[in-house]
Amino acid sequence: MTDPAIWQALDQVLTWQNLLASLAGVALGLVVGALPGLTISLGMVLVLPLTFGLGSITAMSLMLGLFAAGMTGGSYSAILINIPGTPSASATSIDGYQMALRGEAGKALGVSVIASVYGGLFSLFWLAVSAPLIARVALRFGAPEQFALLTLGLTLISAFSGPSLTRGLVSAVLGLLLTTVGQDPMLGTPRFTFGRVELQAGILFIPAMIGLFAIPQVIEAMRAQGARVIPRFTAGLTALLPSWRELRRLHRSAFLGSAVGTGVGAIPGTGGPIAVFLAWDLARRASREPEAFGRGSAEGVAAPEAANNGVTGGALIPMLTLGIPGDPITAILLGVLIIHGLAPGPLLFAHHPEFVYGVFWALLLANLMTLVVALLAVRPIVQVLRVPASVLIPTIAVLCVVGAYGIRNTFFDSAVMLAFGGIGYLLTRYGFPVVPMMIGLVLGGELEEQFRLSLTLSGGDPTIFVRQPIAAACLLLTALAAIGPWLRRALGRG
Amino acid sequence: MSARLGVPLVVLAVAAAWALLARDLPVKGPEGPGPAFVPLLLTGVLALLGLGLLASGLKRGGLGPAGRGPGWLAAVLVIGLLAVYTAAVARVGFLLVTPVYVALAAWQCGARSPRTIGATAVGLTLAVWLLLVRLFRVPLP
Repeated sequence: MTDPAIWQALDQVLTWQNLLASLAGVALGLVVGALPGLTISLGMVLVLPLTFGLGSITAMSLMLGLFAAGMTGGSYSAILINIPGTPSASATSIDGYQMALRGEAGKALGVSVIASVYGGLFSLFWLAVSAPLIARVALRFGAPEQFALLTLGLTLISAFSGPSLTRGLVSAVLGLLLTTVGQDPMLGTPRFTFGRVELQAGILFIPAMIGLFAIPQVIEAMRAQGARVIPRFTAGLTALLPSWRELRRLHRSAFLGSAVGTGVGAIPGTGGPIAVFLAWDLARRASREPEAFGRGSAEGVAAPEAANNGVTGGALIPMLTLGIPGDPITAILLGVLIIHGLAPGPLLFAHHPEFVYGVFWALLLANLMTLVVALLAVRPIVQVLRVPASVLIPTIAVLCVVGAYGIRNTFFDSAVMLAFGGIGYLLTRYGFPVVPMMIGLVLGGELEEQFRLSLTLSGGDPTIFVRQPIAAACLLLTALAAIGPWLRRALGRG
Repeated sequence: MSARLGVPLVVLAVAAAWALLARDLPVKGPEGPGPAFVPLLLTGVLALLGLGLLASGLKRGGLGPAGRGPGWLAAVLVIGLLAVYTAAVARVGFLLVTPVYVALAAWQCGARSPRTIGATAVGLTLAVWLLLVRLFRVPLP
């Protein structure tokens, strides 16, 4: 028998506010995804302060629309002008641009949109099937297991976010240290507040996220004097929809891409850019015409596009079930949940099943809307690619300041945003990834609480972390992830 | 000093400063670790990572990409201008200050036509004001 919460959630999602929010998210996502230099994370952090006044499902409809459509939007510029709108669209440009040069831009866009939605729906299916099962297992986790799991997630993110694990870990630890500002979570003692009332509640991660992601992009754009060299796209767009026969031929590549995207997306710290190249390569090996890959193969467009939207559902699995955001986008989605007083993790499934099912429905809606809007709005989106940086960059800068202000109606948060903007810029310029810091800021409070709770429960005995099999396994994997690169280098030398 | 050595030293300095700030907080609580326990543990980890970076930096080419240098001027200019804009919005008001900031930022981004700059400044200010104040009820000064 089906859970009645499933249908209650559908009722909640199908309101005009949610449909409008999803449509706005999809439209914004397509634009943000299509514009090279703007990322989905940037679009999401700019919209995040606006979600305060919305209901939780309306806010998620907006954000999931932006997420799903942003992934699809990246393919527009990848195919039309050979500049991927998002890092996840990098592999699409390999064959997509070749198709455009051959006069098949319309077909390449059609294949990309259909494959994207296929990938999105595939990953949604696995999210809906696996998330409740994982949550049921995770419900049995105590404080040591939760601490070990969060530590493993943070270490994996640090390892995958850049070429150097040490630099990733420095960024993560800095993020964790910054979460110790404010009242101590167990005893309420003020820490590192310097007598400022605004710091009693700690550093809010939303202004920090806005600063870390948006300000470095504004600085870079202004350094380059707004030079966004976009070749003019002049070819006509015809035949957007591939024939039924062509679609059947593409099914295998789209399926492979979807499976790779969903699987890779579920691993914290990996995400779209890894999934798309893996999917492209797998599809080439599995293809009857591998030699066509790289020369304008529709299969070479379908596989990475299915993979990057496959990531959407995959990435939500650890975020919803364990409270571990695997990338900046899911960290922002986790922020939306926290803003609305919902704690992600297994308890979310037990206490708010209608919300969880609402998220599934909202993601389904986002994918279906992406299919319609992305196919109907090809020409307007192509026009958006021509918006000059002198309009875009000041827009982003103003939204950063007033968006951070709007969180609590205080300019202190705008100042925090600017400070994190400076930190983010310096980290990036000196080769440190900002994503681990951001995830550290999101997970820090929970990590400290579970750590101290474990030690309090054990009377200060640290072996509590290795006596529980799941905690011990997670910490062993953490140690392997941490010493893995060093071990590989040592073995390579030997 | 090169970035290869300077960056690890900054990391070590941050760890030391944070540990110094935590010195007045109790390490032990009534039933478990106290408020200083986790910050001190983290500063220890940060210091170890800083030493790791320093050791790699001392070995030639062992640190991986050292970054592209800070580009101070652009960063100070952008953040400074935004800080002045933030302070001015708080004191003078959004509708008066934003067009001036947008015009300056558009010029900084390469726009040179006074018509384009003017239209961007007025259009963007009104659009953001309508979105935030009218639609989302954010009480902008």
